[in-house]
Amino acid sequence: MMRRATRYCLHITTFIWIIGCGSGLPTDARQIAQPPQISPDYTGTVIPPNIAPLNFAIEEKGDDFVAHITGYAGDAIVVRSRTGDIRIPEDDWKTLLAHNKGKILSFVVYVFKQHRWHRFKAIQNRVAEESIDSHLVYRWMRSLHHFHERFYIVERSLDSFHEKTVLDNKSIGGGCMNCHTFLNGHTDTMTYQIRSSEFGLPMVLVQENTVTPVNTRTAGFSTSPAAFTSWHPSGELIAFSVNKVSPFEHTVGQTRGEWDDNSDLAVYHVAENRVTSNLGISDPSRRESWPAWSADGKRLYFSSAPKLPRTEFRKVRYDLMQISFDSESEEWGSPQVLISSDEAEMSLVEPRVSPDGKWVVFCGCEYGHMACFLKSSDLYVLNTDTGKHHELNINSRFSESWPSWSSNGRWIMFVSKRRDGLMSHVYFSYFDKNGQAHKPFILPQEDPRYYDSCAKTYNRPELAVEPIQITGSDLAKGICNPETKREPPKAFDRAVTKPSNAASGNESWRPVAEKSRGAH
Amino acid sequence: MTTKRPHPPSIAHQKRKGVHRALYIVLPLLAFLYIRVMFDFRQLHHDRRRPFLFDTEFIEPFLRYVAGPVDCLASLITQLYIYPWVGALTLFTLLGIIYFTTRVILRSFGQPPRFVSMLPAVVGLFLLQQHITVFPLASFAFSLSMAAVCTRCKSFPMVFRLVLFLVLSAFTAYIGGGTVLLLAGICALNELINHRQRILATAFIFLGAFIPFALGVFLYEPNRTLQYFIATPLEPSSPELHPFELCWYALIPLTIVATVFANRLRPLFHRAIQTFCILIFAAICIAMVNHRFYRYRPQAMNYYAENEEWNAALAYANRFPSEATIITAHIVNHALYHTERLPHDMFDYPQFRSGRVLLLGGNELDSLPHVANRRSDVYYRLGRIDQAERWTHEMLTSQGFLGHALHRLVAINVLKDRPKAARVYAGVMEKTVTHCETAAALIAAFQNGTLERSIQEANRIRPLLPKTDYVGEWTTRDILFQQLQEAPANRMAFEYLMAQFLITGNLKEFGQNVHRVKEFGYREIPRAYEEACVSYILATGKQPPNLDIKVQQYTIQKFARFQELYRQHHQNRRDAWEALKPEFGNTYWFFDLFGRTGLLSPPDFDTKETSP
Repeated sequence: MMRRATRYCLHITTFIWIIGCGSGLPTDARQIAQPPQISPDYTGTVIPPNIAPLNFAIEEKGDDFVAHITGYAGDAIVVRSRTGDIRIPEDDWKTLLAHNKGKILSFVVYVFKQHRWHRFKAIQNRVAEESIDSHLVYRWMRSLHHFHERFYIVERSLDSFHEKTVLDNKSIGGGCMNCHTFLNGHTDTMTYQIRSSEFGLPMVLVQENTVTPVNTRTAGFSTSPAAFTSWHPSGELIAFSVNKVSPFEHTVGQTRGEWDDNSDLAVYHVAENRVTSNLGISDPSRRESWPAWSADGKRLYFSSAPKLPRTEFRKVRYDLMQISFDSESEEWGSPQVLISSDEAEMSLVEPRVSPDGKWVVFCGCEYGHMACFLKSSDLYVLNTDTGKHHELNINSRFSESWPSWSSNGRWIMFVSKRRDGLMSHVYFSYFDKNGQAHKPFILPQEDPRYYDSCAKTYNRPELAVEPIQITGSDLAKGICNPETKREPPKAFDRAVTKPSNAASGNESWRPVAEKSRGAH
Repeated sequence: MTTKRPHPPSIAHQKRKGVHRALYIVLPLLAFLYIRVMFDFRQLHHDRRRPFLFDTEFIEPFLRYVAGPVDCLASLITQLYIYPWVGALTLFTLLGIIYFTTRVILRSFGQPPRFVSMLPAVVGLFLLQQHITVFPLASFAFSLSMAAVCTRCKSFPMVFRLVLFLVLSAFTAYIGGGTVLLLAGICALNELINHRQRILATAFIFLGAFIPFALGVFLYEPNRTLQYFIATPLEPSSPELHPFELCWYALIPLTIVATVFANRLRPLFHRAIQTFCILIFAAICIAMVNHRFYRYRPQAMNYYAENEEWNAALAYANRFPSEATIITAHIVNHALYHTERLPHDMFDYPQFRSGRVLLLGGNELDSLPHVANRRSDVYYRLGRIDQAERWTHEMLTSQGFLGHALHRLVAINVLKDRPKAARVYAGVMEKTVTHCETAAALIAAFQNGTLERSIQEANRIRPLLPKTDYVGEWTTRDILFQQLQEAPANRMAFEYLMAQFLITGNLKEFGQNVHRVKEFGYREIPRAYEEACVSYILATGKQPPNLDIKVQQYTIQKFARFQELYRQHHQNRRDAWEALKPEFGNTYWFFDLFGRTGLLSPPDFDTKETSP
């Protein structure tokens, strides 16, 4: 009892003293040589000047906590907390960042314990000159296995904590929706896929906020629907993959795996509503996936692997490929291996090209094509000028996947399971002009302890330079309206003969006569 | 001028008033106790629970669709069932709202006959026990409350009533979904009977139909039927339309009409209505007692399994053998294993010849309720932790963030050496109604570094975890064999494997493995194994290899009797079933002969002669 009373008295005295000090900081604090433990880990990183406050929890034992955030210029921020949860005022934070572009921000933490204040060594983070795109769009889902029930496509503002649901799968009568892709980061032109028993398996095209479901399967290219897509910079073409994926389980390590039985690439011509392809990107003897247009639209990057039976799933490794393309004449070049999986001794998937076209970031994993399910997956970059690649120094012992670039090419966003080994979270890393990535930081949340009970997975995050204008209701109506549906005319015939080196059950194809293509 | 002094109330009148006052206290109390007794709240919680988390991220999606707010409330109520007195009080409050609002509505049409006002609440109670969830009940109560407000404003001008209806109906359509149609119906009757406003009555009906449509502009729902009828008996996602549910909805307009007529035709009609109500109450009481104590409840076995009430599960399976399914047989075997009776008494309970019983394999079972729970449970205890993880995640998908599933994920992640992921699931668990205290203890253990010690079965399961990555489509036999190979001391894998051999009639592999009983501490051959050994000896002419425990003479003699009896009836399998069942219905030989234990109903017999 006495002890408690003494503690309260001390608290009151301390509080009065802090108020009296004017700056709100304890002055007689004992110095601690090391920085404090904080969660999330916002230490020694580079942050964009337009990021939301890096709220954090001080993981040191104590009865009272003060965080003092200062920069080269601008007013310092002092946040006091009884619980150790430091919630930084948004306006003060924005002002401080604006004053300190290219400078260091210092976070000094004071902890009151054992009847006196302790001052920890300052944590330092650098504010970059370059901003990050204003919005992040991701698919909200639980860590799932075979079945799914509820998904949302969610938009998060990066300079605040505001989130809005773009599309709820309940509003399209259930089913799956995935792989939203924007044209050059602008949200008025986008695609995503729907898998619904009621509304089919279309690729949904949004152009100037008009929704058009496109049933790519009617072209005869594949019975599988479009999956991973990439907008040509001109906005006239969409490269897409068709994949025959199925999940499976391991009994050791990461539980879920995913098998791609067959995949090919094709291109959808938006204005003409037709699908074309080329043997270079849909070789019947290989699996091609993960299309990504170069910044100038003259090359298509993708991953390609030989067809092997399912029992040899550990031997399936994808090469990183590129193929030239002339969008005017629609002529394809020959596919070229940029990085051979045999030489790299890993499977190279999920390539994304930087906006200046100089870098390609991709995932390298032990085998397979879905990096998010593979603990071994790490991030690498390829310099397109030199043709050399190197591992980024931002990898963890857990899976890194879904990399992408900010519109200015200075930020890499990716998903990592490093926090707990199971749930995917979004991280940002500053990518400097020398091709080096800096220590990444996790997407900030208003509640510093948010990730302690966040059992959701951030899937397929994409950066956008503006908020999505179209409402969820309009998106859903567009999908559900059969009158807006497009069905590209048949442009391919399934070949009767199968190539000798193709695995059994895989279909080959050949384009049909040109006249049927011109009919539209 | 002289003023008349009012007569003092007579003694009889005062007494009557006193009795009425006492009844106002006693009757609700009795009703509350009745609810408490007639509902098995823990069972109800298990059968009807919906996830609920005290978390804005969880609640926010409910606000995005029609009837979402009531749906959210209903989810919370189903979680409160775990505390029976709280559950009873919540239901009592909901039914009380229905009763009082019905009374208010009926009074605006005249003096309602006694008991009539109670009818919707009582029928609602009956339906809640058997057919409906608390979601439509809560929605019904909300809609009636709004209707009561509308009917109480009968002295207000027409324009005011119209505006009031518009506001309240939009509100009701959003909060309570399709029950806005009920509100529109009551308000229309109010206009028609109390105000003689046919035009306004017709307008209310049209507006009632239009408002859900207009709401669809803001809260899009592709399924128009769902938009109109969510939270009503006509909701398309309801598995079946029960006529009682429709009657329940029709009761309100019917009672209004009855009230109007009763007021005109007193007292004969009044009496008839009262007698009718009393008969309905009596019938409902009988039906509820029957349902509570004498009827088979499909989810009861799952409930016992989930709560590890193994003896209760076994007793229940034997009490209702005619209702046995593959799930029942699965739970029976699980319960027998936990009570250490599987090798002895497995044929004393409902069993089918099916290779899928023990692990519930096969995609066609995926859609059955609680299959994910059972699979998660059995794989977890077998040490097949990745499969357990998969099925626990499927549980979350099909049933949402339920406390016990989250608890299982904490354990799984601890065993998979992902303590931080375990901490995340404990963090979610902390937001549940049912497991918040357990979660707090787990979080404290995480912070102290003693999380693994705080998981009950972790020490037992850790040595059972496979070290080989088995990827592929495996049969039940393969999985059990792999588990036993990975951990030869895995008792559950051994007993399940032997049970699998017996259930599928794989005597050859049974004989090859039965000698391992000694490794698990058996000094005598367990009864079911011993019976199978006799069959093995008969089939092969020799003892099972390496088995140095002798089959008891008693069992050999028993088999001789079985053979003798079978020979007498072998011409007709039905006769054989009837003759063998009393003495041998619980033996391996009987099961092997008929593909099911004697406790079950006989199979469809053909006349073909078969030998045991």
